[in-house]
Amino acid sequence: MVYEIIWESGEHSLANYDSEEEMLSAVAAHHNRAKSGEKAGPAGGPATRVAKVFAYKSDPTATEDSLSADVLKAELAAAVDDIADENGVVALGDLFGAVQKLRSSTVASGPHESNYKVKEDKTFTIADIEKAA
Amino acid sequence: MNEFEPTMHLHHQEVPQERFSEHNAVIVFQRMSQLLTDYVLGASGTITPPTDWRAGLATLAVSTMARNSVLSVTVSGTNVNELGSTTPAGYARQVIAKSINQGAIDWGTSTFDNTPSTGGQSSAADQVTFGAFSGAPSPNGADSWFLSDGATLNAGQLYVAGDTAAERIFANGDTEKVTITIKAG
Repeated sequence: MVYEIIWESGEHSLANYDSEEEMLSAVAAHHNRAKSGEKAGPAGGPATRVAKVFAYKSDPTATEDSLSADVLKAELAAAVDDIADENGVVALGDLFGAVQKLRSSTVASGPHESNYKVKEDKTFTIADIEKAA
Repeated sequence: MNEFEPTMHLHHQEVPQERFSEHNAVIVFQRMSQLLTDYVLGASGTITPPTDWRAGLATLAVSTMARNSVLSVTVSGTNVNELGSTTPAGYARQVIAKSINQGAIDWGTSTFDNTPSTGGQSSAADQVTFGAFSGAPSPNGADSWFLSDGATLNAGQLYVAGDTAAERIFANGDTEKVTITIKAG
C-alpha cells in the first residue's frame, strides 16, 4: 500500500510499505527520535514528530491519461466557471493552467490535510502511532 | 560545486537547517532541454511535460551520468538505478505539483539575480521528505537525487539530477530531506 505521512511540521511524505505493521514500525521509530531530540537520518537535522498517516489501497498520485468526452466536457465547464471573472470573461492564459489542474493528482491543502484528490482508505492517528512507539 | 549549463543549471540544499548551503555536481538531461526546444518553442504534441514532477533518489553519482542517461534496473553504462527499486522499505518518489505556491508541495515564486556572470532566474520547490524508512532499502546508498515523472520506480524520464553531499545509507526510522532549485543562468 501507499501511505501519506503527515509530519507535525506540515510536511508530507509518500512511502511504500508492505504492511501496516511495517509502516507503524518505521513511523514510530522516527517519531520516537523526535521526542528524544535525535537526528532525522544520515544527513543530520532534527527528527520530526508525526501527526497522522493516511493509507491508500491504490496509488493516490495516479492520474487519468484519458477521460470520456462527457466527463471532460463537464470538468472543462466547471474549470471555465472557476477562472471566469465577474464579467464572465476568461483569460486564455489561465485556461492552460486550469486544464493542467484537471490532470494533477494533488490539491491545495492545509498543513495536516491530504495533498491528494482521492480519499484515503484509512487514517492512523497520533494515538495509533504513539501506541506503536 | 555548480556546473553551469548553456540553458540552465541547478543546485540544491539538502537540509535547510544547516548554516551553509551545499553546492554539488548537477546535470540537466536531454529531456529537459527537449521540453524547451520542442514543447516551449515548437508546441510539440509528443514531447510534453509530465502531469506532476517526481523527486527520487539514485545510487549513482552525477559524475557517472550522461545527458542521455535512463532509469533502468540494469546497472551498466550510464544507466541510473533508483534507490529502493527492489525493496522500497518505505521509499517512494515524492510528488512536486505543477503549480506555484498553491498549498501542496509545489514550486516557489521565481526570482531573478542580476549578478554578472553567476546570476540568473531561479525557482525552488518545497522541501520533500523521503521515508521514514522501515529498514535498509535495496538498493541502498543514495548518491544523488533526480527529477522524473510517474510513480513507477526505475521508470520514466530523467530531467535533472544532483549529487547528495555524501552517500546516504538508510536504516529503520531514517528520513532524507531534499530541496530542489532550478536556476537558469
